[in-house]
Amino acid sequence: MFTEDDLVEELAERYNYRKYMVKRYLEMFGKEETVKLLEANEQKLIPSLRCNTLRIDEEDFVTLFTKKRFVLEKISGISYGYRVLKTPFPLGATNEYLLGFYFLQSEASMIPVQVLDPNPGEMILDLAAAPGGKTTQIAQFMKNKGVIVAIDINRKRIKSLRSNLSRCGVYNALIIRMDGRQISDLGLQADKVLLDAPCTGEGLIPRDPTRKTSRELKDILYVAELQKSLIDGALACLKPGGSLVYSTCAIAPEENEFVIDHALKNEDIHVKKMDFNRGSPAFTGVIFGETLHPSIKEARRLYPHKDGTEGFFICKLQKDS
Amino acid sequence: MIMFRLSTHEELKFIQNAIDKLFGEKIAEKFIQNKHLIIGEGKWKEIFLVSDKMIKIVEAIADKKQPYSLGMQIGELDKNKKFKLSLEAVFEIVKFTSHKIQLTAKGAQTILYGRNISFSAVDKICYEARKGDYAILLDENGFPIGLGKILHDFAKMQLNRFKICIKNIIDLGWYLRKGE
Ligand SMILES: C[S@@+](CC[C@H](N)C(=O)[O-])C[C@H]1O[C@@H](n2cnc3c(N)ncnc32)[C@H](O)[C@@H]1O
Repeated sequence: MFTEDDLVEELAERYNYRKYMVKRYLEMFGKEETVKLLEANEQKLIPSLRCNTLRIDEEDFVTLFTKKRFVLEKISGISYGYRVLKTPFPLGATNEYLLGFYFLQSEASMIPVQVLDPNPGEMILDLAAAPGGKTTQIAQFMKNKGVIVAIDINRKRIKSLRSNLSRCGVYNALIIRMDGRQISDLGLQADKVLLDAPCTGEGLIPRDPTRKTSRELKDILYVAELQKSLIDGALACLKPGGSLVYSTCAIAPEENEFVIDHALKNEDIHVKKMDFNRGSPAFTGVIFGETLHPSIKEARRLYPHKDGTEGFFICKLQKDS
Repeated sequence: MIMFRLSTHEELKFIQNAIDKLFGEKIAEKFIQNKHLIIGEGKWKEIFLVSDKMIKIVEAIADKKQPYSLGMQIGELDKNKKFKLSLEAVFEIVKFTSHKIQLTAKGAQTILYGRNISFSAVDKICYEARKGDYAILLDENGFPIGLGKILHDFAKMQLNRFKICIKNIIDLGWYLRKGE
């Protein structure tokens, strides 16, 4: 008889994954959807970019790139976001890249800032900022007015953060290298906080197939603890009435819903419905032995097989005034 | 360790003069406006242009954390007190100064590779350039790509179109060569 263990073994072997991953996918998604996910992870994602209006007018940008025979398609619901359907030459080192006219940013990773909706004059905390895809996007929404406090712990990555902010003409950021878990020591009170948390990157398999075998369950559990400490710190820096967006490119509920469930233990915090209708509702009910708060269904998950993006999680939280 | 502090009055005057000398009278005033200069002091001095709102935050956290970087880095003062302008400042100052030289597409590419150029790479000189001047270099579409120092007088440059006449001081290619 063909058992569940046989199925795990077969799929893990066919697609070259660690068995524990496939076993967990089957529990999360069932057989049919798991196969679709594994299959979609083998496909290339459509590249995308964000036009940087701090450096060029959006219309001029489209004209310039169309003249250069790039085929761009506007991403609906995401300001300044474009899919790049045809590239006559690589986008990584063009003169326009050096001029800061665009940032190469995946479609899913443009959503958190869109949902955060930063405005000119606000104080925004970006707690895991390097290399700055989202920091430059925040500055663009703010028209370089107000202040972004951009934190990262990593020496090398913070250097690229600085370089990217410079290249994109971001002048309203205060970069601090520190452990985000200690952020509450600074006594900041931000209007909005972005926590694009460090994660195990399981959603990035379409771009990085080595992730199929590079991580153990214990890595996920370790990162989940870091994420919980970071969200505690982030919430402590949020003004009453302010909102926080939590995002990851992780698939595991431990790095996503569990972290939100942990944050909701704080009574002043609740999940906010997002003005964004892509993706699927996040997990609620019981999963991997944990009972999750029902309001977490307002958080969104994106998947390669359903949304054509990397695996992604986004949740918006609000602090009561 | 780099310590950050507000510029002294002398430092502010020195930097304003340096910018005006490079790009023309009152350019520093237009560029700096109502912002403040912060000095990051380590082995050399880095100069940042910062808003009021940001200064307040920096001051509030000063006894706990020093910034890594902030606002717009407009340049550096080296040990010999020589002022070196940044790429970010070039991008802003280009809006106010007439000290600009437009290059051919090929000339722009040469600059972006970090090299110097000859007069054959020049498409248009937008002002009365003189030997020793610094000018913002524009690519063929008019976008700023760097800063150059003019090595010869105009008449001499025309005589020998293939002799190096503009020295590359900084260019956007830096972001690929060093920045990443
Ligand atoms: C998912 S990446 C952030 C990507 C970034 N938001 C962007 O859009 O370009 C997570 C970042 O968290 C940083 N990080 C990891 N642990 C941290 C900690 N304890 N405190 C602050 N940053 C941390 C990593 O160095 C990494 O740059």
